[in-house]
Amino acid sequence: MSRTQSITFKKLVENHFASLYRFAYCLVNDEQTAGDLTQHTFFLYANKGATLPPGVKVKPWLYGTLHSEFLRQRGAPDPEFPLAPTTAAPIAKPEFIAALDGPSAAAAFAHLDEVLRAPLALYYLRDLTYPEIAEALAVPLENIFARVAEAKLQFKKILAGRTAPS
Amino acid sequence: MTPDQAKAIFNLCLPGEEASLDVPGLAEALALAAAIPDLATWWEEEKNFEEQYSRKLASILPPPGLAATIMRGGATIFFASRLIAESTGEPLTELPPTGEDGPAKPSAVDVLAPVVEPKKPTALTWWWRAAVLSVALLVILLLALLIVMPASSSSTGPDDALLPDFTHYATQLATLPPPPQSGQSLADMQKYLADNRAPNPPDPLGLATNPSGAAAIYGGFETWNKHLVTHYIVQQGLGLMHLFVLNQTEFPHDDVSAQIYESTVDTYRVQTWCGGGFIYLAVKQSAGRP
Repeated sequence: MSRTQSITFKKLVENHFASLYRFAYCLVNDEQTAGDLTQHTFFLYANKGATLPPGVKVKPWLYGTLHSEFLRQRGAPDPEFPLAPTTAAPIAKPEFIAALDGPSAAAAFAHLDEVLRAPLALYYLRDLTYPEIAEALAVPLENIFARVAEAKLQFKKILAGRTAPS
Repeated sequence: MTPDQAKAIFNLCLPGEEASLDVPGLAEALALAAAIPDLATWWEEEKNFEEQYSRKLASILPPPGLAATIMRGGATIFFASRLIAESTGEPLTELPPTGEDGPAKPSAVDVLAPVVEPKKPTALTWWWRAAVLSVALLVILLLALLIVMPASSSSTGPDDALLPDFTHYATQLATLPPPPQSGQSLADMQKYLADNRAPNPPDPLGLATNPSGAAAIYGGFETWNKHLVTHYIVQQGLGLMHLFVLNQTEFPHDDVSAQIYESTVDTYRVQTWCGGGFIYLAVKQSAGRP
């Protein structure tokens, strides 16, 4: 491992560990588990990064690997999600959104259908484009559109039906 | 395009103009919103919500020290990979460029990742290959243990006064003729050591003689790019036992203490401790292993 290589890894960690941790937190809602998932993802990259096929983008790979590891640890396959037409969703009460803190905002993902959590978390984290989300989750782009649309519909209905935390 | 169709398109827009360009039909939906005030108002509220929620998630902070732990772990893996590459004589495959390289202050990663180019592979004995591969494995196992399992202790590590023994032993080994380079067996190695009146390795924990019947048959002392790696191969009944010594200055692990941390990994019993600037890893095969 040359100095350049170590700098590459260091920069990669510095640039993405916080975003990856947030994504993990949205999936598991637990600080310790989210930290473990984030660590494990980077350790996998340290082990396998040199053998990735040419053209593989590192950032989607990191998110996809973290998600795969989450699914593997959970022990159940990612179910298929049918494409469906979407409609506009209600807007959540502004006072409720304003009163949320970060962990509470992430905890709301737990009320979503499981297959929709990762796409919507990635959508709100704003670190990946749609094609990158599709690449990370190994799902066709059209299916990602459908999942995000459905997720937002569900999500806003959930939030709109809740009251501001005291 | 109807207002409902436009809302469905807006519903897909990522918060952020640039990313929104991925969504087909957005331009037409925006044109419609410009012509329909109610739709424009709805879209503004929608964007405010998205921005607000993204900011909420962005406020989640990783635990302190997570990045440092990841970098330290990465350095450990790189070190192990380098050992493997050197022991097998195969070239070390480097990480692909990520486009995120740049000047950075020296850190634990920079210090741990050796700058000096590796030695050219030489004809390696199977003892050395086994030892180096074992070190690589153990380094990874140590990392996993330190991360996953809580610390426990049962006794203290060896007295620092033993360290000169290691140095003395290394000096003695250096005076021996080279060990056999091919066709070695346990008997060959024992004969080589006996013929050359090789000294017994230091045995700080009594590992080599406990249980009785075991004996340290070979020790190596290697300075590898400043990484001091002392290894023993100890005959214990029908199996082998390894003891490794790493330079803690070059290979820091904050979680290792002077007290012995003992655990079982797969079929091995692993003890880890530190003292006098060295990390010790003792590995024994479990009793249940044939």
